[in-house]
Amino acid sequence: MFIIYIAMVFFQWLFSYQPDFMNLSPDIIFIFVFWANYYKNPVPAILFSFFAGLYADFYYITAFGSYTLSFILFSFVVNKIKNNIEIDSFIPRSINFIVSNYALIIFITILNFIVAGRFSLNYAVFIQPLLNIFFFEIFRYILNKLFKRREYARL
Amino acid sequence: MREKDKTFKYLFYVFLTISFLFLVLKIDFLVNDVRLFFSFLFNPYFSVSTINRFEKVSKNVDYLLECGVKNKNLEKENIELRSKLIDYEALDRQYKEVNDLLRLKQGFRYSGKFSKVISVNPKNPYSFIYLDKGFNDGIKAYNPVVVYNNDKWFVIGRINEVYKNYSRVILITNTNFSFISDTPSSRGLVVGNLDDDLIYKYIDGDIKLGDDVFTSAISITFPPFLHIGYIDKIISNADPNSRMASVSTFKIKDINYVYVIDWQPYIDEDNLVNI
Repeated sequence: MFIIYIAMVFFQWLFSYQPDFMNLSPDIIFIFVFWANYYKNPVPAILFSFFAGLYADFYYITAFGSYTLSFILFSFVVNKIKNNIEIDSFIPRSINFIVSNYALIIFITILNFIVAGRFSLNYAVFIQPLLNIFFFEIFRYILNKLFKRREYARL
Repeated sequence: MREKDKTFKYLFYVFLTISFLFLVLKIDFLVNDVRLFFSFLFNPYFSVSTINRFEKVSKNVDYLLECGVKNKNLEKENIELRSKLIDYEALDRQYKEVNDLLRLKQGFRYSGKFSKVISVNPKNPYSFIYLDKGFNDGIKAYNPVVVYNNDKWFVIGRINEVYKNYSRVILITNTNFSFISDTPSSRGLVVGNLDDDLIYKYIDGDIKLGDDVFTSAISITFPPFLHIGYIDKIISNADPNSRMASVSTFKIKDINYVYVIDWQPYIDEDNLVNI
Protein backbone atom coordinates (compact mmCIF):
# COMPACT_ATOMS: atom_id res chain seq x y z
CA MET A 1 0.00 0.00 0.00
CA PHE A 2 2.94 2.26 0.66
CA ILE A 3 4.05 1.89 -2.95
CA ILE A 4 0.55 2.78 -4.13
CA TYR A 5 0.59 5.80 -1.82
CA ILE A 6 3.91 6.93 -3.29
CA ALA A 7 2.53 6.32 -6.77
CA MET A 8 -0.49 8.45 -5.91
CA VAL A 9 1.71 11.30 -4.69
CA PHE A 10 3.88 10.97 -7.77
CA PHE A 11 0.95 11.05 -10.21
CA GLN A 12 -0.67 13.89 -8.33
CA TRP A 13 2.57 15.82 -8.66
CA LEU A 14 2.86 14.83 -12.33
CA PHE A 15 -0.68 15.91 -13.23
CA SER A 16 -0.46 19.13 -11.29
CA TYR A 17 2.21 20.31 -13.71
CA GLN A 18 0.42 19.14 -16.85
CA PRO A 19 -1.49 21.59 -18.98
CA ASP A 20 -5.07 21.31 -17.83
CA PHE A 21 -8.34 21.98 -19.63
CA MET A 22 -10.85 24.46 -18.22
CA ASN A 23 -8.82 24.63 -15.00
CA LEU A 24 -9.46 20.93 -14.54
CA SER A 25 -7.10 18.12 -13.85
CA PRO A 26 -7.99 14.59 -12.76
CA ASP A 27 -8.43 14.04 -9.03
CA ILE A 28 -5.73 11.41 -8.65
CA ILE A 29 -6.25 11.11 -4.89
CA PHE A 30 -9.88 10.15 -5.23
CA ILE A 31 -9.10 7.74 -8.06
CA PHE A 32 -6.56 5.95 -5.87
CA VAL A 33 -8.84 5.97 -2.82
CA PHE A 34 -11.67 4.56 -4.90
CA TRP A 35 -9.44 1.90 -6.36
CA ALA A 36 -7.94 0.94 -2.96
CA ASN A 37 -11.33 0.61 -1.31
CA TYR A 38 -12.81 -1.57 -4.03
CA TYR A 39 -9.80 -3.68 -4.88
CA LYS A 40 -7.98 -3.98 -1.56
CA ASN A 41 -8.77 -5.42 1.83
CA PRO A 42 -10.66 -3.20 4.30
CA VAL A 43 -7.84 -2.53 6.78
CA PRO A 44 -5.20 -1.41 4.24
CA ALA A 45 -7.97 0.44 2.41
CA ILE A 46 -9.02 2.50 5.41
CA LEU A 47 -5.38 3.16 6.29
CA PHE A 48 -4.77 4.29 2.76
CA SER A 49 -7.92 6.45 2.84
CA PHE A 50 -6.86 8.11 6.07
CA PHE A 51 -3.38 9.02 4.85
CA ALA A 52 -4.67 9.98 1.43
CA GLY A 53 -7.17 12.24 3.21
CA LEU A 54 -4.37 13.81 5.24
CA TYR A 55 -2.39 14.33 2.08
CA ALA A 56 -5.42 15.93 0.38
CA ASP A 57 -5.97 18.17 3.40
CA PHE A 58 -2.45 19.43 3.07
CA TYR A 59 -2.83 19.75 -0.65
CA TYR A 60 -6.18 21.56 -0.96
CA ILE A 61 -7.16 24.77 0.77
CA THR A 62 -10.15 23.50 2.68
CA ALA A 63 -10.90 23.15 6.37
CA PHE A 64 -8.18 20.84 7.64
CA GLY A 65 -9.66 17.40 8.28
CA SER A 66 -12.52 17.63 5.80
CA TYR A 67 -10.88 15.35 3.24
CA THR A 68 -9.74 12.93 5.97
CA LEU A 69 -13.26 12.65 7.33
CA SER A 70 -14.76 12.32 3.85
CA PHE A 71 -12.37 9.56 2.80
CA ILE A 72 -12.81 7.68 6.11
CA LEU A 73 -16.58 7.78 5.74
CA PHE A 74 -16.26 6.88 2.08
CA SER A 75 -14.05 3.93 2.97
CA PHE A 76 -16.47 2.79 5.63
CA VAL A 77 -19.47 2.97 3.31
CA VAL A 78 -17.71 1.26 0.43
CA ASN A 79 -16.45 -1.57 2.62
CA LYS A 80 -19.95 -2.09 3.92
CA ILE A 81 -21.63 -2.23 0.54
CA LYS A 82 -18.96 -3.40 -1.87
CA ASN A 83 -19.97 -7.03 -1.62
CA ASN A 84 -23.34 -6.10 -3.03
CA ILE A 85 -22.03 -3.92 -5.87
CA GLU A 86 -20.97 -5.04 -9.31
CA ILE A 87 -17.50 -3.60 -9.91
CA ASP A 88 -16.07 -5.78 -12.66
CA SER A 89 -18.33 -4.52 -15.44
CA PHE A 90 -17.57 -1.18 -17.00
CA ILE A 91 -20.96 0.54 -16.93
CA PRO A 92 -21.92 -0.20 -13.30
CA ARG A 93 -18.40 0.65 -12.23
CA SER A 94 -18.49 3.95 -14.09
CA ILE A 95 -21.88 4.87 -12.67
CA ASN A 96 -20.68 3.92 -9.22
CA PHE A 97 -17.54 5.97 -9.63
CA ILE A 98 -19.30 9.07 -10.95
CA VAL A 99 -22.01 8.97 -8.31
CA SER A 100 -19.40 8.50 -5.59
CA ASN A 101 -17.32 11.32 -6.93
CA TYR A 102 -20.25 13.75 -7.10
CA ALA A 103 -21.38 12.70 -3.63
CA LEU A 104 -17.92 13.29 -2.23
CA ILE A 105 -17.58 16.69 -3.88
CA ILE A 106 -20.94 17.83 -2.55
CA PHE A 107 -20.20 16.40 0.88
CA ILE A 108 -16.85 18.18 1.10
CA THR A 109 -18.35 21.44 -0.11
CA ILE A 110 -21.14 21.32 2.45
CA LEU A 111 -18.74 20.27 5.20
CA ASN A 112 -16.39 23.07 4.30
CA PHE A 113 -19.29 25.52 4.36
CA ILE A 114 -20.39 24.30 7.80
CA VAL A 115 -16.94 24.25 9.37
CA ALA A 116 -15.10 27.13 7.70
CA GLY A 117 -18.10 29.20 6.64
CA ARG A 118 -16.93 29.65 3.07
CA PHE A 119 -18.65 28.32 0.01
CA SER A 120 -15.72 28.09 -2.37
CA LEU A 121 -17.16 25.77 -4.97
CA ASN A 122 -15.61 25.89 -8.38
CA TYR A 123 -18.44 24.90 -10.71
CA ALA A 124 -15.95 23.29 -13.07
CA VAL A 125 -15.59 20.41 -10.57
CA PHE A 126 -18.96 19.12 -11.74
CA ILE A 127 -17.25 18.15 -14.97
CA GLN A 128 -14.27 16.70 -13.13
CA PRO A 129 -15.85 13.26 -12.42
CA LEU A 130 -16.21 12.70 -16.17
CA LEU A 131 -12.50 13.32 -16.53
CA ASN A 132 -11.78 11.22 -13.47
CA ILE A 133 -13.56 8.16 -14.79
CA PHE A 134 -11.37 8.19 -17.87
CA PHE A 135 -8.20 8.30 -15.81
CA PHE A 136 -9.61 5.86 -13.31
CA GLU A 137 -9.97 3.26 -16.04
CA ILE A 138 -6.36 3.72 -17.05
CA PHE A 139 -5.07 3.54 -13.48
CA ARG A 140 -7.34 0.61 -12.67
CA TYR A 141 -5.93 -1.33 -15.59
CA ILE A 142 -2.32 -0.54 -14.64
CA LEU A 143 -2.76 -1.11 -10.90
CA ASN A 144 -4.68 -4.34 -11.39
CA LYS A 145 -1.91 -5.56 -13.64
CA LEU A 146 0.75 -4.64 -11.09
CA PHE A 147 -1.12 -5.67 -7.93
CA LYS A 148 -3.13 -8.54 -9.28
CA ARG A 149 -5.83 -9.92 -7.04
CA ARG A 150 -5.44 -13.60 -6.32
CA GLU A 151 -8.47 -15.29 -7.71
CA TYR A 152 -7.12 -18.76 -7.43
CA ALA A 153 -5.83 -20.95 -4.66
CA ARG A 154 -2.11 -20.90 -4.09
CA LEU A 155 -0.59 -24.29 -4.84
CA MET B 1 -12.22 -12.41 9.17
CA ARG B 2 -13.73 -11.24 12.35
CA GLU B 3 -10.36 -9.96 13.54
CA LYS B 4 -10.05 -7.93 10.38
CA ASP B 5 -13.54 -6.55 10.86
CA LYS B 6 -12.67 -5.56 14.39
CA THR B 7 -9.46 -3.91 13.31
CA PHE B 8 -11.31 -2.15 10.53
CA LYS B 9 -13.94 -0.86 12.92
CA TYR B 10 -11.31 0.11 15.45
CA LEU B 11 -9.31 2.00 12.84
CA PHE B 12 -12.48 3.59 11.49
CA TYR B 13 -13.42 4.97 14.90
CA VAL B 14 -9.90 6.14 15.61
CA PHE B 15 -9.57 7.90 12.26
CA LEU B 16 -13.07 9.31 12.52
CA THR B 17 -12.21 10.76 15.92
CA ILE B 18 -8.95 12.19 14.61
CA SER B 19 -10.59 13.78 11.59
CA PHE B 20 -13.36 15.22 13.74
CA LEU B 21 -10.73 16.62 16.07
CA PHE B 22 -8.99 18.21 13.10
CA LEU B 23 -12.22 19.84 12.05
CA VAL B 24 -13.27 20.95 15.52
CA LEU B 25 -9.89 22.25 16.64
CA LYS B 26 -9.44 24.14 13.36
CA ILE B 27 -5.69 23.71 13.15
CA ASP B 28 -5.44 25.32 9.71
CA PHE B 29 -3.10 28.03 11.00
CA LEU B 30 -0.67 25.31 12.11
CA VAL B 31 -0.63 23.55 8.76
CA ASN B 32 -0.65 26.60 6.50
CA ASP B 33 3.14 26.57 6.21
CA VAL B 34 3.06 22.89 5.20
CA ARG B 35 0.34 23.72 2.69
CA LEU B 36 2.48 26.50 1.30
CA PHE B 37 5.35 24.07 0.94
CA PHE B 38 3.02 21.61 -0.79
CA SER B 39 1.76 24.32 -3.08
CA PHE B 40 5.30 25.13 -4.11
CA LEU B 41 6.23 21.48 -4.40
CA PHE B 42 3.21 20.54 -6.44
CA ASN B 43 1.19 23.12 -8.21
CA PRO B 44 1.67 26.74 -7.26
CA TYR B 45 -1.63 27.72 -8.86
CA PHE B 46 -3.63 25.59 -6.43
CA SER B 47 -2.63 27.66 -3.46
CA VAL B 48 -4.55 30.86 -2.89
CA SER B 49 -1.77 32.44 -0.85
CA THR B 50 0.77 31.54 -3.50
CA ILE B 51 -1.46 32.96 -6.18
CA ASN B 52 -1.71 36.15 -4.16
CA ARG B 53 2.04 36.25 -3.80
CA PHE B 54 2.54 35.69 -7.51
CA GLU B 55 -0.07 38.30 -8.25
CA LYS B 56 1.72 40.72 -5.98
CA VAL B 57 5.03 40.03 -7.71
CA SER B 58 3.47 40.41 -11.15
CA LYS B 59 1.68 43.58 -10.03
CA ASN B 60 4.95 44.98 -8.74
CA VAL B 61 6.63 44.13 -12.02
CA ASP B 62 3.73 45.79 -13.86
CA TYR B 63 4.06 48.86 -11.67
CA LEU B 64 7.78 48.98 -12.34
CA LEU B 65 7.23 48.74 -16.08
CA GLU B 66 4.47 51.33 -15.90
CA CYS B 67 6.70 53.63 -13.86
CA GLY B 68 9.49 53.14 -16.40
CA VAL B 69 7.20 54.11 -19.26
CA LYS B 70 5.82 57.07 -17.30
CA ASN B 71 9.34 58.14 -16.45
CA LYS B 72 10.31 58.11 -20.11
CA ASN B 73 7.21 60.07 -21.01
CA LEU B 74 8.01 62.59 -18.29
CA GLU B 75 11.57 62.89 -19.56
CA LYS B 76 10.23 63.59 -23.05
CA GLU B 77 7.79 66.10 -21.65
CA ASN B 78 10.61 67.69 -19.68
CA ILE B 79 12.74 68.05 -22.80
CA GLU B 80 9.78 69.54 -24.69
CA LEU B 81 9.07 71.96 -21.87
CA ARG B 82 12.71 72.97 -21.66
CA SER B 83 12.81 73.61 -25.40
CA LYS B 84 9.62 75.65 -25.01
CA LEU B 85 11.26 77.53 -22.17
CA ILE B 86 14.09 78.49 -24.49
CA ASP B 87 11.48 79.64 -26.99
CA TYR B 88 9.79 81.58 -24.24
CA GLU B 89 13.05 83.31 -23.42
CA ALA B 90 13.49 84.31 -27.06
CA LEU B 91 9.86 85.36 -27.26
CA ASP B 92 10.24 87.33 -24.05
CA ARG B 93 13.25 89.09 -25.51
CA GLN B 94 11.35 89.89 -28.68
CA TYR B 95 8.36 91.03 -26.67
CA LYS B 96 10.57 93.38 -24.69
CA GLU B 97 12.06 94.73 -27.89
CA VAL B 98 8.66 95.32 -29.43
CA ASN B 99 7.42 96.80 -26.18
CA ASP B 100 10.35 99.19 -26.15
CA LEU B 101 9.63 100.13 -29.74
CA LEU B 102 5.99 100.75 -28.95
CA ARG B 103 6.96 102.86 -25.99
CA LEU B 104 9.35 104.85 -28.15
CA LYS B 105 6.82 105.23 -30.89
CA GLN B 106 4.67 107.19 -28.50
CA GLY B 107 7.39 109.82 -28.43
CA PHE B 108 8.00 109.68 -32.18
CA ARG B 109 6.34 112.44 -34.12
CA TYR B 110 5.67 110.49 -37.33
CA SER B 111 2.88 108.02 -37.70
CA GLY B 112 3.52 104.73 -39.44
CA LYS B 113 3.63 100.99 -39.08
CA PHE B 114 6.02 98.54 -37.50
CA SER B 115 7.15 95.85 -39.81
CA LYS B 116 9.36 92.84 -39.61
CA VAL B 117 12.33 92.18 -41.84
CA ILE B 118 11.66 88.93 -43.67
CA SER B 119 14.59 88.80 -46.05
CA VAL B 120 17.79 90.53 -47.13
CA ASN B 121 19.62 90.46 -50.39
CA PRO B 122 22.03 87.58 -49.84
CA LYS B 123 24.70 88.80 -52.25
CA ASN B 124 24.67 92.41 -51.07
CA PRO B 125 23.04 92.59 -47.66
CA TYR B 126 23.44 96.35 -47.58
CA SER B 127 21.47 96.88 -50.80
CA PHE B 128 17.86 95.75 -50.23
CA ILE B 129 15.71 94.26 -47.51
CA TYR B 130 12.18 92.90 -47.63
CA LEU B 131 9.43 93.67 -45.12
CA ASP B 132 6.37 91.65 -44.20
CA LYS B 133 3.96 94.54 -44.76
CA GLY B 134 2.69 95.60 -48.15
CA PHE B 135 0.02 97.51 -49.99
CA ASN B 136 -2.79 95.86 -48.00
CA ASP B 137 -1.22 97.21 -44.82
CA GLY B 138 -1.07 100.76 -46.09
CA ILE B 139 2.58 100.79 -47.14
CA LYS B 140 3.32 103.13 -50.02
CA ALA B 141 6.32 103.73 -52.25
CA TYR B 142 8.90 106.27 -51.04
CA ASN B 143 7.89 105.76 -47.39
CA PRO B 144 11.00 106.28 -45.25
CA VAL B 145 12.07 103.33 -43.14
CA VAL B 146 13.67 103.93 -39.77
CA VAL B 147 15.03 101.71 -37.05
CA TYR B 148 15.55 102.31 -33.36
CA ASN B 149 19.09 101.69 -32.24
CA ASN B 150 21.12 103.00 -29.31
CA ASP B 151 18.28 105.23 -28.13
CA LYS B 152 18.01 106.96 -31.49
CA TRP B 153 15.93 106.59 -34.59
CA PHE B 154 18.15 105.94 -37.57
CA VAL B 155 16.97 106.19 -41.12
CA ILE B 156 17.95 103.09 -43.04
CA GLY B 157 16.22 103.44 -46.40
CA ARG B 158 12.92 103.84 -48.14
CA ILE B 159 10.30 101.69 -49.78
CA ASN B 160 10.92 101.33 -53.47
CA GLU B 161 8.65 98.42 -54.39
CA VAL B 162 5.30 97.63 -52.86
CA TYR B 163 3.48 94.34 -53.29
CA LYS B 164 0.21 93.14 -51.82
CA ASN B 165 1.62 91.64 -48.67
CA TYR B 166 5.27 92.58 -48.68
CA SER B 167 7.51 95.36 -49.83
CA ARG B 168 11.13 96.04 -50.75
CA VAL B 169 13.33 98.64 -49.12
CA ILE B 170 16.29 100.21 -50.81
CA LEU B 171 18.81 100.89 -48.10
CA ILE B 172 20.75 104.12 -47.82
CA THR B 173 23.90 102.00 -47.99
CA ASN B 174 23.03 101.01 -51.56
CA THR B 175 25.47 102.59 -54.05
CA ASN B 176 22.52 103.83 -56.12
CA PHE B 177 21.19 105.85 -53.23
CA SER B 178 22.26 109.37 -52.36
CA PHE B 179 20.66 112.25 -50.54
CA ILE B 180 21.51 115.57 -48.97
CA SER B 181 22.30 115.47 -45.27
CA ASP B 182 23.62 117.74 -42.56
CA THR B 183 25.94 117.76 -39.63
CA PRO B 184 25.71 120.50 -36.97
CA SER B 185 28.08 122.68 -38.98
CA SER B 186 28.10 121.33 -42.53
CA ARG B 187 25.96 120.07 -45.38
CA GLY B 188 26.85 117.49 -47.98
CA LEU B 189 25.78 114.48 -49.94
CA VAL B 190 25.62 111.00 -48.45
CA VAL B 191 26.25 108.12 -50.84
CA GLY B 192 25.95 104.41 -50.16
CA ASN B 193 28.96 102.15 -50.07
CA LEU B 194 27.40 98.64 -49.83
CA ASP B 195 28.81 98.40 -46.33
CA ASP B 196 27.99 99.56 -42.84
CA ASP B 197 29.44 102.99 -43.56
CA LEU B 198 28.43 105.78 -45.94
CA ILE B 199 30.47 108.29 -47.86
CA TYR B 200 29.82 111.91 -46.99
CA LYS B 201 31.11 114.16 -49.74
CA TYR B 202 30.67 117.51 -51.42
CA ILE B 203 30.91 118.89 -47.93
CA ASP B 204 30.22 122.54 -47.33
CA GLY B 205 31.28 123.61 -43.86
CA ASP B 206 33.41 122.18 -41.09
CA ILE B 207 33.38 118.62 -39.98
CA LYS B 208 35.05 116.79 -37.16
CA LEU B 209 35.16 113.24 -35.92
CA GLY B 210 32.10 112.15 -33.98
CA ASP B 211 29.74 114.66 -35.59
CA ASP B 212 26.20 113.43 -35.90
CA VAL B 213 24.91 113.18 -39.44
CA PHE B 214 21.17 113.65 -39.93
CA THR B 215 18.75 114.19 -42.74
CA SER B 216 18.69 117.71 -44.07
CA ALA B 217 15.86 120.13 -43.66
CA ILE B 218 16.08 120.94 -47.37
CA SER B 219 16.01 117.34 -48.54
CA ILE B 220 12.73 115.94 -49.80
CA THR B 221 14.03 112.39 -49.77
CA PHE B 222 13.46 111.99 -46.02
CA PRO B 223 11.80 113.93 -43.29
CA PRO B 224 14.33 116.28 -41.62
CA PHE B 225 16.49 115.58 -38.56
CA LEU B 226 16.50 111.80 -38.65
CA HIS B 227 19.82 110.30 -37.62
CA ILE B 228 21.97 108.66 -40.23
CA GLY B 229 25.15 107.98 -38.26
CA TYR B 230 28.25 109.74 -37.07
CA ILE B 231 31.51 110.68 -38.71
CA ASP B 232 34.18 108.17 -37.86
CA LYS B 233 36.81 109.03 -40.44
CA ILE B 234 37.79 112.14 -42.40
CA ILE B 235 39.62 111.81 -45.68
CA SER B 236 41.44 115.10 -46.21
CA ASN B 237 42.35 116.51 -49.55
CA ALA B 238 44.25 119.57 -50.72
CA ASP B 239 41.18 120.69 -52.54
CA PRO B 240 38.62 121.52 -49.86
CA ASN B 241 35.80 120.60 -52.25
CA SER B 242 37.14 117.07 -52.50
CA ARG B 243 37.00 116.40 -48.76
CA MET B 244 35.21 113.25 -47.83
CA ALA B 245 34.18 111.57 -44.63
CA SER B 246 33.12 108.10 -43.66
CA VAL B 247 29.82 107.92 -41.78
CA SER B 248 29.33 104.96 -39.55
CA THR B 249 25.72 103.78 -39.69
CA PHE B 250 23.56 100.76 -38.87
CA LYS B 251 24.60 97.13 -39.07
CA ILE B 252 22.30 94.86 -40.96
CA LYS B 253 22.50 92.17 -38.25
CA ASP B 254 20.85 94.53 -35.75
CA ILE B 255 17.80 95.14 -37.87
CA ASN B 256 14.85 92.91 -36.99
CA TYR B 257 11.95 95.31 -36.74
CA VAL B 258 11.65 98.56 -38.62
CA TYR B 259 9.21 101.44 -38.59
CA VAL B 260 7.77 102.56 -41.90
CA ILE B 261 6.85 106.22 -41.69
CA ASP B 262 3.65 107.23 -43.39
CA TRP B 263 5.29 110.04 -45.34
CA GLN B 264 5.75 110.61 -49.04
CA PRO B 265 8.08 113.20 -50.58
CA TYR B 266 6.40 113.06 -53.96
CA ILE B 267 2.75 113.09 -54.92
CA ASP B 268 1.78 110.57 -57.55
CA GLU B 269 0.65 111.97 -60.86
CA ASP B 270 -2.68 110.20 -60.55
CA ASN B 271 -3.29 111.88 -57.24
CA LEU B 272 -2.18 115.14 -58.74
CA VAL B 273 -4.81 114.80 -61.45
CA ASN B 274 -7.40 114.08 -58.83
CA ILE B 275 -6.42 117.12 -56.86
